[in-house]
Amino acid sequence: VVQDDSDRLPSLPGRGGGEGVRTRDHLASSRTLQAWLRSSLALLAIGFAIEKLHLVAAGLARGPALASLAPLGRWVTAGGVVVTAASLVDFLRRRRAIEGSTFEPRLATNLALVAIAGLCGLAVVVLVAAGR
Amino acid sequence: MSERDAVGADQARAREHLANERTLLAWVRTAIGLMGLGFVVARFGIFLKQVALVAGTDAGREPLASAVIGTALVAAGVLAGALGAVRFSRARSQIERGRFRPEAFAEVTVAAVTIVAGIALVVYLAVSG
Repeated sequence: VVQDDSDRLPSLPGRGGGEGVRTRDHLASSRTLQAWLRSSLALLAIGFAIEKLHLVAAGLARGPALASLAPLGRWVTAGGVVVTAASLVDFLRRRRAIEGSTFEPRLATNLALVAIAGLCGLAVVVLVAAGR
Repeated sequence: MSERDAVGADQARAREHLANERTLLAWVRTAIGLMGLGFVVARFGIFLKQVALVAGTDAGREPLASAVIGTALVAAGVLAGALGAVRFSRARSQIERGRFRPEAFAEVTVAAVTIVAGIALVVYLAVSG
């Protein structure tokens, strides 16, 4: 937990050191992709809920306010697809960067993905506020 | 190799295996997430029926697209678990040999299936909404 993956070991002989750091870089990169993937799954789920939950509310006679905002859901879901695609592209680029020892943190890409997730969160807030 | 270097190399090896295990656990969580979402998408109709029963209204029929997309997502989850387990085992022996290969098959496949299922979900929501 304490040890960060970016912490570089001094080069050791044999398979320790450089090779071990490369291995752990690639494995950390896979976990990073999957963390993005799970985030986008949450967006897909939230989008689906926004689109469909008004059907439940309709059964409980509280439908109209939620129904008018339901089309927001498909955009949240589309946001999830964009995040998945962008994180896959990022993963493949990162893979080459680790192999070439030219890794650079990509602040703009990460912030763009977080912004998409944030916009989706905002849609949920609007929906909840309107549906009260 | 001096004794200090040997200890260092063995610690590095342990950390590689632990990183590999964390990656396997990440695959398990990804698989669970995909299967959970797929289940909800496929079986949302049951929830609607329940509410309709309580409210005394008509729930209508569960759309086929919902069941298909949901099942595809559950299948993607099973695939993620299986590919993650295979990758874990391959990476394990690669670490032991000291020749790690950055394979991307599992990541690309699962992400691609998720993208396709996600696009299908967006289209379904836009058409049915």
